[in-house]
Amino acid sequence: MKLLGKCRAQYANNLLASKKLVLRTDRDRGDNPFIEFYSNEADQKLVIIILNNVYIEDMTSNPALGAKNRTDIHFNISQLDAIIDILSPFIDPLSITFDDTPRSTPDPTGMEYPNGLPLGETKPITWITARMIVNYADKDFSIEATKVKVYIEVEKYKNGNKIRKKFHLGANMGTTILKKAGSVNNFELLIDYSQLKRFLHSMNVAKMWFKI
Amino acid sequence: MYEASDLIKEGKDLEILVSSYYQAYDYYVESNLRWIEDKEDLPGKVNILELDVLAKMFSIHSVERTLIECKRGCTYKDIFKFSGVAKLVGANSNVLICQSHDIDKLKSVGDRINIQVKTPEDLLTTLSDDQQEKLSFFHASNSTSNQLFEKETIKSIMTTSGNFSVIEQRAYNMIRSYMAELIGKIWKEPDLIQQSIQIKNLLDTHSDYVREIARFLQIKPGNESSEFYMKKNMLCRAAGYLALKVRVSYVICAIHCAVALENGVVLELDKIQDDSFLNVVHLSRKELATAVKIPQFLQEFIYIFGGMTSLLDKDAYNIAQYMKMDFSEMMKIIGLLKQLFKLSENRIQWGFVEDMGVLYLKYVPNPIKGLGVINREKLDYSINEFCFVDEWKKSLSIYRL
Repeated sequence: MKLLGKCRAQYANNLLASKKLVLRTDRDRGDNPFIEFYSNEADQKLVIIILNNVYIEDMTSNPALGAKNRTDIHFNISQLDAIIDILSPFIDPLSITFDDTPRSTPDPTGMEYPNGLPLGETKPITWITARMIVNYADKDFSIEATKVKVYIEVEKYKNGNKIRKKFHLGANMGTTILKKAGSVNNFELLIDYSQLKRFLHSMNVAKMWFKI
Repeated sequence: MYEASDLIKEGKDLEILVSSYYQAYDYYVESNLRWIEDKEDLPGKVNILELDVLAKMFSIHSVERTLIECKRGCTYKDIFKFSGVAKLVGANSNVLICQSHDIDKLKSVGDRINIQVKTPEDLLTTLSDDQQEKLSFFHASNSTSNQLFEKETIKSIMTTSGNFSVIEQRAYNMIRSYMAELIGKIWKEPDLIQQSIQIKNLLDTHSDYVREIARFLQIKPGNESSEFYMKKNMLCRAAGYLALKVRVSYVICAIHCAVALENGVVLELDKIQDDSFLNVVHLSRKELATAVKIPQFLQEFIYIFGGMTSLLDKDAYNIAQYMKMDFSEMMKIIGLLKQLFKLSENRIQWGFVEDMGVLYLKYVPNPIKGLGVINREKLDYSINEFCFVDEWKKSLSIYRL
């Protein structure tokens, strides 16, 4: 695998009700997570890894209620710019067949928040399919969804006097395979090259929407 | 200024030019029509005659129909034959567009039998600069549309040998047969209620038409979306485009019903069992001034702008400006269409898809989307909001423009 670049991440969280555990990193509480991008030419996949200050916690909410096994990843605008700067030089010259099929995107309210409400105004952008792995290394297991729909949306909400804007990837991981863990706690996302133009453009769409 | 000789190289070119001309004048145009009848007591159909263009002008008062015949090398025999056809069709006006050495005499004969005889040059000299540009846009999309159904073009793209396999030939025949119902029978049904019932029968018997053709062709994998197969296979692309045309016809028929009802025509709506269609008619009657703009809007939205608009930046404003509408009026039309499609959603499963800030009409083939972005570039409109510009342009590049 070839490292394409590395930048800051904002937040990543996996809720795992069956084990009453949460895997989490959050820059707002003082963590310093990073996101690394690798190209895997052999498998034609972009590999995204969120790592550093990723901690396992006990689930404080009732595991019988709400989402059973889902992962949410957030970036703010400056992080989005950094990601675009890393990915554009790699994706733009790719000479492959991209998946350009229009796909209806459900309203995230009720889909992304089945038992709750979003913090603010949300706008669904699109979805991509990906392989997602969440490594609970400190507990010696990991979970994996081999072909999961990752919904991409943007959200604006008030935090005190500030308007927060976030780019949100959310996936209900559904049935997962318990397997041996990686060496560190982290989140891995593997995206087929055919989905990358859509993935990159969704970030540009997010930036346009933030301006509206 | 266009020269007719540049645009008319063969017989079909004149029909494309004339269709584009009437579209540039804001008519809703149906072309390549046939008059087909079922054989009595025998299976099969009889193709009685061919008609080139039927142009409709929708207003809150009426739907005026103009029948147009295109003829290169026109003779007296042709004008009298067209006169007979015109009587059969019963349009409000009849026009013969022809190229002939005896054009003045033909015009004189036409005056006596109530047929306007014009040359292609007569048409082209009447166009404003804006209309000339619009004609060029429609000309490209009409030409591409024809090729999307053309057997030789489909074969040349799909096969290296230049021949269909047996199963491909059968699939092509199935598509032509489905098309024959629309362009050979439904359009000529004078009773709007019967017309709506016939279109509904077509929709019901082929409710998932692209995937029906994909299954027939045994395309793997078998569980993908219609758009997937439309991209992968040219016969599926033709099937999807045809399904779009049938469904647009259903909406147009509903609007025609609304105009008729508001102008005192008695229609036996109780014969229609489709609640969705009745709701469409009801909504159109309530918003008739907006609804009568839908045929022209759909035509320009699909054939000039690729059936899509970005909701993020100025694209929708630009389209509204191009169509000489207020932005709010165009969004009202889109809102009305969304309502119409939503009412029909569960049954006919079509309408808009919103993806990455772009509103798409379903089943618009990628080459038509390619024209949509090329036309935007010609008009100096931004295309940055569209993700797959390169893919759409590439899919268009295999067709003759």
